[in-house]
Amino acid sequence: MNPYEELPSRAFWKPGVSVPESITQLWYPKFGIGPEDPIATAGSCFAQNIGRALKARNMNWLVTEAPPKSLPRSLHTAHGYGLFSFRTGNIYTPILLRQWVHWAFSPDAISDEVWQDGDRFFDPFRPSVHPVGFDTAKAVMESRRETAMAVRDAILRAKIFLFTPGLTETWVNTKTKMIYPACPGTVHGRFDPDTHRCINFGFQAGKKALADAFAVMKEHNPDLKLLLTVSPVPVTATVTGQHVLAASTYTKSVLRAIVGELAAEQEDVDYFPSFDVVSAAMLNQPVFNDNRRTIAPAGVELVMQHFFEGIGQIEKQLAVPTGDLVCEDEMLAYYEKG
Amino acid sequence: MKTRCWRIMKKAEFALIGDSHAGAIGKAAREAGLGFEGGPLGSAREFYGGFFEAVESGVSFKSPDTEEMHRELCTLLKVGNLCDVDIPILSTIGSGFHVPATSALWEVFQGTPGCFEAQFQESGLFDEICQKLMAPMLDFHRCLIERSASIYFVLPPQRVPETSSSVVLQLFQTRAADALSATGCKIIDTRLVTSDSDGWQLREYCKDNDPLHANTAFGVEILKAAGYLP
Repeated sequence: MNPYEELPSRAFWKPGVSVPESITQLWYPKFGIGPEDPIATAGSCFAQNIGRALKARNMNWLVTEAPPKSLPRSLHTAHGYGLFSFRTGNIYTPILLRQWVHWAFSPDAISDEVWQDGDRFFDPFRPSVHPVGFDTAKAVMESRRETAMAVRDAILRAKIFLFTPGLTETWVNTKTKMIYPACPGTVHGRFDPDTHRCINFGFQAGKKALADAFAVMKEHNPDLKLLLTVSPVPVTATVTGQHVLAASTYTKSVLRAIVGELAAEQEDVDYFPSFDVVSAAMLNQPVFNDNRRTIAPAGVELVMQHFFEGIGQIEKQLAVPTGDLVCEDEMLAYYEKG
Repeated sequence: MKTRCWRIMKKAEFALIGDSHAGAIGKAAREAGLGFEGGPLGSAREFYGGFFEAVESGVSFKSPDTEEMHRELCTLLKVGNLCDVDIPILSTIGSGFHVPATSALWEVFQGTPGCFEAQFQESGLFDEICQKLMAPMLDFHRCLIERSASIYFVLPPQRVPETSSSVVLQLFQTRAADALSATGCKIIDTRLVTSDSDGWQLREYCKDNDPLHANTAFGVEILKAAGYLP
């Protein structure tokens, strides 16, 4: 008798992966997630799919920053609404998450940096949330504070905080120590080699940032659970000097290790293996678009099927055509590219 | 930089409304520089419930998001209600036939999974269920036509997701097209060009890595069939 003899088939590669037509029982959640439980979502671009999927399945996707009534529905996405629970834009790294959580509960710490381009003003920490920029620097600051309060509200009200990091390369202001979501000068702003520096954080720093962020969340909402995924979308570019493929593999490996370790250590933290089911090359699934980077609707659908199977909403899923999420993506793509 | 999606480039020749299948048509029209307004208003499933109300001014969508899109479209078209437009309306509302064809909905009528009881599909019960399922979208188009709108209803790309029944989809589509014609809709049907000999979407008209939608080439064929492209 040895410990492998009584394990279920999902523990073995042949019956778990290579033989069945599709993988099942990928994930057994550590804590229950019911249809009524408020779920906040944040993270990299892949996390946008999760919020939409939750909404499509009538789960309680928590949105704490709603668009103003005056903004046409067709412009919500371009202005950063409806992508995550709040209007932070993409939070690619655990370190940036920690900064937002810190700002949420210590508003005095919010950076006062604003980028100006002609007569328009942009937010360095949310460069994509206003396509043509704000009218004034004051408006940028007011909007940023509003978002920080929406993050706070989400943490206080959520039962589950779902975070999907995607990058380790992080741009930092060496003078203020503030973390940017993107390299200054790429979306907006100007790159200054004396001020802007890329740090490719490793396992220890990343794990500490994520643990710190969750500790602050728990301080304010002791019942909160943290559900982690890793974005399977490869990095767009790297400044490490490595080939982008090698840099992407390193990034995802570090993030996968961080979330795996944190989930193993903490009872209130779990990992949903979306990265694993999409990125495993041997599964040979058509889950990427032709650019071999972004995830095709079928890939998102596959991930969400495993998610809903895991939380026991599979019956509900069967009553709904799998095309639902694909339809949402098609609609968003139509209005995003206007 | 992202910009407003419903720009007035030229005087609108037609209005586009629908589910996500309207996306390929709108993209093709944009690329061709056609004057039009609109796009998808909701997802396919929404239009298989009681999704609208006939009101004094015309139609009103029950979903706040969809009604907001409707209001924005009306503003761009300078009308008070969709019923008031004096240009043709291309509609894919209700064309998501994969929704009523969802296999799970029909399992109760199947002895073994995927196999209906003998002659069930020719039965009055099957027909009655189809009529019930399509009633809201039929009512919607009828409501527009009764208020003098000119409707082109576009048959969808001939694709079936794994969770839907291909048999039910084709039977439902035939019934829906007939019923819509009877209400006065003109049916835009490109299957002779865009489908294979079995009736399914040719690969060159499918959107890549997507189990359901068409690509822009399909949108071009729709616009040709509707007379907006040569």
